[in-house]
Amino acid sequence: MAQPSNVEYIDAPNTLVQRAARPGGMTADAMVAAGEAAITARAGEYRKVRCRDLDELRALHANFLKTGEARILQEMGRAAYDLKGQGGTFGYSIVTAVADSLCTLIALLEKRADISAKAREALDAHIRALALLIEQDITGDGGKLGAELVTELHNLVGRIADM
Amino acid sequence: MSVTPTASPSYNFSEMSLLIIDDNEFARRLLKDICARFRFGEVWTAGTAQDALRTLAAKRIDFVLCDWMLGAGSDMDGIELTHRIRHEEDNFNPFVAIIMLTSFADVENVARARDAGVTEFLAKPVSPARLLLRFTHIIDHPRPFVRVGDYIGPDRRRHRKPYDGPERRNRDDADERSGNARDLSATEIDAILSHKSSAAAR
Repeated sequence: MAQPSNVEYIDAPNTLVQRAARPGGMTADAMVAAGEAAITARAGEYRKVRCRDLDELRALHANFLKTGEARILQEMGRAAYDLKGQGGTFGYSIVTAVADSLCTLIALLEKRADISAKAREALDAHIRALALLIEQDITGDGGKLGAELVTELHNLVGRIADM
Repeated sequence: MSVTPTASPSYNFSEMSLLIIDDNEFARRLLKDICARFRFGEVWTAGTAQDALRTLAAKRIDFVLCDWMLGAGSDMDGIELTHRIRHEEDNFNPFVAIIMLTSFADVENVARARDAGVTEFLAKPVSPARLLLRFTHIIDHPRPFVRVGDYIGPDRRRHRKPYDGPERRNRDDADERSGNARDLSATEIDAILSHKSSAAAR
């Protein structure tokens, strides 16, 4: 590996260590517990938010099937990104896993000019799976059935990637 | 900070300020709630990159917690915003600690974030424990800043731990994954962030 050249060290003042050490702090354990309490306090709201996200995803999907517009596929990717990012925080890791698979599928399709019938079926399968998980309020990883569902969706995405 | 093997370390964030940047309003409020319970002195929020730049220019900010994807309302994503912050010495603190949040924690994205000058990288889903660990790592392991070519950011070269790749994942790492085999564990992310940036290698 080449040696770095013209490295300029910048004298950036940093007083974080001193300020963090001042009296009156909290233990890390207490901070984590307080943070977990914040999540618990938002859990009811999250269940409404994810239903709204699912409705948005379904509407975008229906619109995409009608128009095939790349912009709508991109918006679907954004909605799936949010579902993926928040599910696990609230104990719905199965939602995160399925939304992640949908993100992967959408990223694949964004690179393609034409969306095949198989790809449309794969999109539909992911959205139906998310709807089932959210409407049935499936928590955690969904157990054995959850693992089978995620594997099946990954296989679907794998087949689309190979096409 | 006194740390003993049996005691949880103690931190005082009451004289520190944080800016949370996320276009998702619910995510913004949730992160603000969590960080308020960490007892940050000030927690600011921004829904767009433009709002974030205005806040950075007006306030003294110690930490930036930024989502990678900032949506259609922003004219730049979290990586472009990081680059802008690191290069805007006249308007605000270019050395602010930046934690990049994303649901896409693959090797390529972590390396891109590192090369843009982020301080830490946090894969979603967020948990209070993992978020707190990012803040305390920045506090406990400060890095000098360097300028090498177009790169301005933390000097990774103090930590010469080589990236040893996914084959050395351990069981704990697997538990931290977001559900995608492509996504890296916290340990793997740390290894990439600690490795010399490609910019610095030139």
